[in-house]
Amino acid sequence: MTKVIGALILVACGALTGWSRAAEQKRLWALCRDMSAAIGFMAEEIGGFSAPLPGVFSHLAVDGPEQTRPFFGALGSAMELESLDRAWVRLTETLPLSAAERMNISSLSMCLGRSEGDSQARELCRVRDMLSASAEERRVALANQNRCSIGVSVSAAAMLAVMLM
Amino acid sequence: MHIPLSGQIDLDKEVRRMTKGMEIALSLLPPELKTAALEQGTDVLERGEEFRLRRGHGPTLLLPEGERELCRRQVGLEDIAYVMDRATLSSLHSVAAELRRGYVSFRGGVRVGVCGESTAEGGALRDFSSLSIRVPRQIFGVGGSACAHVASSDGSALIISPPGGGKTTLLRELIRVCASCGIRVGVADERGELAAVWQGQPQLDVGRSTDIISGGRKADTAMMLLRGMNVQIIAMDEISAPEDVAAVEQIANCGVRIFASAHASGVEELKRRPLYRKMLELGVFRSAIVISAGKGGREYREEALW
Repeated sequence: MTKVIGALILVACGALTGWSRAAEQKRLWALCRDMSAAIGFMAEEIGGFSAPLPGVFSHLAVDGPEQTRPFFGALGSAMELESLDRAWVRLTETLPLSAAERMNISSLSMCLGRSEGDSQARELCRVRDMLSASAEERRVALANQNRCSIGVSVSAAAMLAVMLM
Repeated sequence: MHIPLSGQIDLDKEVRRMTKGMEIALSLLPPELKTAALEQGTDVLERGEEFRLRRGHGPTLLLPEGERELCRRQVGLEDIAYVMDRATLSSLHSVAAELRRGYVSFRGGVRVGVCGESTAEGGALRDFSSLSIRVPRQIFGVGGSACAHVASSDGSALIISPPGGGKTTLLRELIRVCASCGIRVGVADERGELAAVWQGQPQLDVGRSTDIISGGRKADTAMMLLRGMNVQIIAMDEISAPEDVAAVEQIANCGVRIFASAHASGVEELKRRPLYRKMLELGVFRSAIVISAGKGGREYREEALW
């Protein structure tokens, strides 16, 4: 009986590990997708309406894509204490995205608030498109990984359970 | 009619205003320069009109008697960048139109005048070389009974003084007095000096029934106010071009009063200049308030023009 319970726990742990890995991947995909949408919104506001950045950031912090709200909230607060470019780079480093994605987002610090609205919008659109492509790759990979990682985790746990029995 | 006046100035209110304006102007300075400014003492700061930052030179505070150096440290690129970053809310793109006119408006009526390299003909400035952080100055009660008389009459008035004589301050007070009595006043604020609108809110007190169009040529915006806002008075600072005179004539023909200002030492000098002579011949302005420097400060006298 003890062995059966142990085996069941192992299988459950395996499944849980698989699911949590899948959930983490899903969260990163959602962050990437939301960041792309938020940067697209910034491009529209800056290029189309010459909107001041603090207003854009405070809107994104409250009504923006869900995964990016904390980032823009922190950015709005940080701007009161340090320059925008420093705050942008520092906070970008905290995003759990790939190094390439972070580098692209970080590069916006060179133009944000420093040039004409049109040129900022062009640069923002470039990063938005890059993130959008990256999010799509993550989505496809996620669909495959989901099945894979849960399957592998459950199988590995099942094998351990059999060995235990 | 000559009415020399000392003016009835509410000093307490003025000091409160000045302090607030100075406080906001100080908030734009880099920490080190702010400290140097504060070390001058409140008495000096309250008389301060502008902070001037020129790359490669010491920062100065412009006082009525001249510029006073704040510290020996030279103003660097990072100081200029710091001020511009704060003044534009890190959004240079959103003030491009103002930069083309040579300044950036900030809250509280503070204005940063900018010098640098012009990108193209009429283009925005970049590579900023010097800044002038102007502290707003609103004096309540300025103009005394001359101001009160013009405000309570039903005619148009022209304010006359040499440059820096206080025309804008008096015009703002006229607007405030009339608009506080419920008269609808339209303000064609081309240079943003009358009401200092920032993010849609006038930063200086111009009364409750005032409608303001900032930026844009005053001849055009005055006509917009005339057509669209059903105003009883239109105020415009510094009549200086033939189209301004044409706008004055059109406004008067519609039965709307005008408060305006012009550079001159007196009515006689005004009459010697073709543009103003033509304007005076229109008979639009019933009276002029002439501002001159007296022993005890500025003197305001009202002169009948016809």
